[in-house]
Amino acid sequence: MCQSPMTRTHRGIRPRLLTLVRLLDLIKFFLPILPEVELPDEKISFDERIIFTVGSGIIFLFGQLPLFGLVSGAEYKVVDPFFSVRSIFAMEKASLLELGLLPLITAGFLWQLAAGLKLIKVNFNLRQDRELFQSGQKLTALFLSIVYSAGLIYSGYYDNVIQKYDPLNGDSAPLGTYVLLFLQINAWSFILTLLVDVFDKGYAFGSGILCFLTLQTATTLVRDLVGLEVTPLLNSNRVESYGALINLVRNFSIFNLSQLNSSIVNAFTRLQLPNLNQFYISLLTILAIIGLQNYRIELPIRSTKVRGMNNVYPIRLLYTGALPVLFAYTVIVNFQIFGFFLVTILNKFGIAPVLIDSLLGKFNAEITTNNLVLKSGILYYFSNSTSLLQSLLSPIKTVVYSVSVVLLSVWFANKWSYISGSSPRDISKQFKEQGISITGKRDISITKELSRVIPVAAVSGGFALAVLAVGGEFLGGLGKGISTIIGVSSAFGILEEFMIEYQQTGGNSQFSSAFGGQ
Amino acid sequence: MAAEGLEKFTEVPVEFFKDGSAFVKKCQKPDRKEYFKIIRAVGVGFIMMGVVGYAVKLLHIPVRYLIV
Repeated sequence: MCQSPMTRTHRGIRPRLLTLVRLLDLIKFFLPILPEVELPDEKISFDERIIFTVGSGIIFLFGQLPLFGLVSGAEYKVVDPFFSVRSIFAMEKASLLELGLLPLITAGFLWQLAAGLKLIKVNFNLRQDRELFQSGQKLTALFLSIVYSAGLIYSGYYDNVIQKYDPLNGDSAPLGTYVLLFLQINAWSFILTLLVDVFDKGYAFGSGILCFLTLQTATTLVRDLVGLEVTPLLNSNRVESYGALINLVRNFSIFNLSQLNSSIVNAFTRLQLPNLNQFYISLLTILAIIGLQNYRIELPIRSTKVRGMNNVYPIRLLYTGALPVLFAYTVIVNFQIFGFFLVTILNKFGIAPVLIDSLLGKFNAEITTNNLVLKSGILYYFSNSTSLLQSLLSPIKTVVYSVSVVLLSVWFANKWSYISGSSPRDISKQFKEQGISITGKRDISITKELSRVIPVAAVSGGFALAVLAVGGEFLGGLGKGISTIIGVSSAFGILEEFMIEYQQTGGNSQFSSAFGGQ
Repeated sequence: MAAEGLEKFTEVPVEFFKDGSAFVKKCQKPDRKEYFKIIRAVGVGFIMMGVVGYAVKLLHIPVRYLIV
């Protein structure tokens, strides 16, 4: 109660302050130099949208080309601090997609939350504001990409894979290659923002980021299982196949029983390359998600205009999709990355190394996998386990990690159900416009009824998915379970938009007549 | 004040689990037939996408040799 006068003055001052320096208006200065995709002049036909979707997807996949200036096979030699979260954000080691979609996703969440929590003032009904908002996201994404890539290069992440450079030999720092790497990574991030823009402006199906994540998940799943490439094992003269199943089949020999056992164990536990354990976690996750996706409450609705028109309006358990989980991991991964930068920078200057090790985090390189594994410090408690054994051996970390993921995702689900375009108030407005009412309820109480159901659905859905994600991590999913959650539930979103569009065009499509044989 | 805060601290999760489980209980769940139908559709879609994606990725291997 005692707070109300303060909030009132706050409200009085705020609008004036914001009109003085509206963050959104600052972006106007950048508009002339920031290229963007034009809004379509006319309606994009169904076939064109398919082509745009597939085309952007293929361009996205080309981001996995290796960075120029690194030695060949750099992706196996880089000492990797982010091995456990790469698959969530499509971050591919030593390729153009080194940062993957992380800058874009982080920027997107920052702006959406800032708008939703009223930290910046945006009027989404104005076209100009909407465009400024999108440009703001893009600028932030580029800025983050610059920060991440500069941090990576400065921390010496590429030092042991740069061509003709040997830090132990006393060579001078390869500044030219550093600049080249920096430009490549950022140029690709820039192209990615434009590709996502193609989706956001309505040329393709679904949201760009989620579509790319789905594509990446599907590709990774297939590659992890049946990848044919043969890769050299680190610090040994043996080679193994990339795909977990292919590797098992290749090493299969019934005549040598002891070797058979060890090769089966190896197929499930190897850490350098994908293992079968991760595959089964992904598979179980897919099955669970498909089940959860169809949990729904059907509100009986009736038309206020036409008598006797009754229907149901489904409210899904996964009302906010996989966004809460994606948000939780965006926060954790950013924490990890900036933590890593901080640790390496402080170590470079040699400031209190013991204190940093025990307080912030200590990275240890593992010889067999080339992963940088956290051993202590705050960062350690927010990193995931590589196996079930490890999660059981360090219970405090396991608890801290899972509780933070669940809390972040529940918090986001709750907030998102109010600030996204499908909040209870928005839905009831839509109902009113279309002349729909909930059976047995008066018009006025629709919002009330919806806000009794929607936030509960969103929060429970966010909770269920977070538990599923954390469960997969316990068993050593190394991010594969989480990327599957995000991939599959985004696939549902895309499929839904696709089907609606397909029905609206009345199945009138060149593709369907070519492939459907009608 | 502190006691009130503590009470609220325990109350929120309890409330949340009560609401959540009530919601899930009320939910319409997919029956077996529907479930398998969706699994098939999603599975086929996913594998198709994955195979195409992987094919594009295999194209990278010769390109890699060209540029590195």
